[in-house]
Amino acid sequence: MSIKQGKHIAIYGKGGIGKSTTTSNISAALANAGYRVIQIGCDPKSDSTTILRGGNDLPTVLDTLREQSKVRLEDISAVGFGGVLCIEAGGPVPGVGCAGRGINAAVEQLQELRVFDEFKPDFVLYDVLGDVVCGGFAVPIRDGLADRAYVVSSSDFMSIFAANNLFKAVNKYAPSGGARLGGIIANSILAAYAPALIDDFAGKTGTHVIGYVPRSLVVAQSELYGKTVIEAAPQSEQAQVYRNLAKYIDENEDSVIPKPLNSPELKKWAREWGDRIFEVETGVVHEMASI
Amino acid sequence: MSPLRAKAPRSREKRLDTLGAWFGPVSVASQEFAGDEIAQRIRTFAQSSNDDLLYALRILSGIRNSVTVIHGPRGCAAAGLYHTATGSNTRWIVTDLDERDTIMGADGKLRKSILALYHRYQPSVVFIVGNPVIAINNDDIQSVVEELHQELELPIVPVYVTGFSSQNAVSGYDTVLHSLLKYLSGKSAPTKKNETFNLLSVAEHPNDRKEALNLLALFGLELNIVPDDSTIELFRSAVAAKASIPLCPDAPEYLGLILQEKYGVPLIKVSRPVGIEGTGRWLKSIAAFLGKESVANRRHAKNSHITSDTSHNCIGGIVNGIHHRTS
Repeated sequence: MSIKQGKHIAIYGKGGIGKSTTTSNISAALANAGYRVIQIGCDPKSDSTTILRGGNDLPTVLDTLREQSKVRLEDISAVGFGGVLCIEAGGPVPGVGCAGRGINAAVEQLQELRVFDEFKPDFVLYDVLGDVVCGGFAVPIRDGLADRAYVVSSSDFMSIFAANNLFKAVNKYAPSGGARLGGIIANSILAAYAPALIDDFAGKTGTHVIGYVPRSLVVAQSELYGKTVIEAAPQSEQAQVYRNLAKYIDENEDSVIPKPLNSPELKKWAREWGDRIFEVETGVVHEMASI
Repeated sequence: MSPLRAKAPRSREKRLDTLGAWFGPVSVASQEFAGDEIAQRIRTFAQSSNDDLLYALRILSGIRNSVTVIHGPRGCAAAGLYHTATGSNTRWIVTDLDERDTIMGADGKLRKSILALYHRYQPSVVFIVGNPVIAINNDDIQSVVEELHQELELPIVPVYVTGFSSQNAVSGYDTVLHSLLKYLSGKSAPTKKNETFNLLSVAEHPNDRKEALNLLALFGLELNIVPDDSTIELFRSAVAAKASIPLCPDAPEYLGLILQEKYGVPLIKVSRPVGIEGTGRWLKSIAAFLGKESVANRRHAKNSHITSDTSHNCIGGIVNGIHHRTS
């Protein structure tokens, strides 16, 4: 009888949007709440779990592929803040080889090591690199790995565009057993119109925002110290934001198959928001606009 | 965790420390095997050799009333020509991926190929065979499998060979057998056993199969012969059988293991039936399981007696380890 250990969640989003920071903070918050957590970085840069490990080195899963000897879990993981088990898939250096194949091989290696049976996690978070440019990077949401995916986005058009694109991948694999979309995590929220913009996009694509993470100096500072906010500033408001996100993910398993906008629709939607923001700047007040 | 949950089993090197070559005394070899790790240190490079894809095709070519789609560029399917020439049960085509397919993904082409074969031949099963190209670019096969399984209402079996995951081609047998069981034999052990026994024949010569059947006729068993020259119905019977008899302990190792572990069909441990004594031991292991040792002993004595009389006149010789009598 095959029973998967724990809830498997994939985090996607435009490169640089704050996935690793957000994921690490969620992992830390879940660990603080008493859960057993594994965070798996699926990025050849191998920088997903840096702030959980105080910046210490961690051999990647793919590093061990080059060696002939038997691999043990201790060789490719490190216990980070709060007891979070940190694993980095790794991959080739830029411009070389095929990182997508690497993700596939790394995930297979983890399954062969029976990581999930051994560690018995409550949560497994896959932090996947920004540009899902080939089949390999979709491996966490296909092949029955993750149950749910969340997409991190800010209110910048480029990250909305990327989110819309990622919905296409979820759309493709969900009908045949792939992960469904749990929702959008709105990150780097600064401007007043930002939440409304992301909410609107979510509404148009059949999903919703599960939490709003403000842009904050606390995050930047903690990161420079090599720590999550949960570790460096546990009493801060920002830490509470991440704890709420973690709580949401723990308590809500609902997910959808998103409906990405096509090119003309997305363009039109963007223009409309461009106009709205202009009006906000120039003082025009519309019904239902958030100021 | 179900042993059939993954797309493919672990390679033989990882599962069983399989080596392709060894140079040294047996004592050192057995010490290393007993220890923690063993590594292949010689002949790690082969100028050309079989890979798992070729071995998988060999097994699939024996399944009757099937069609096989090799999902890859056309050169990778050239191996199929050998099997067609030597008498293949399956009909195969290749999706002939071109440059655009490798970039944009080719599940559309795969779908079209399967439908074309289905309409032409009305098979009872469709096999999709992987290939180094789609292993690298992670082309999506699984969605096609699910969609067409629903649409055509027959088993669509993907075989995830890659051409590079193992240095030992025999891993290809394991990969194909994994998929055959996963998609043909049902999710769990059947509640009632039937009266059959399995003869596990993996890529064996038909003459050796014939000889094995001659010997097993002593016991009057109803046999499912899998996977050589079999049908998908036999895979369903096999999981409800009373026991599995491997024709050889090596190639069917994974098949026997899963039948035992997942479906509760006991695997009879045998030694390799090479030579008179070896064949005798093979027969006796089976007899011991059935409680018919005397039958086996008598036959073994007869075999030994005949050989010592006719060893000069024997024309048949030793074919693949089982003594082949001319009478």
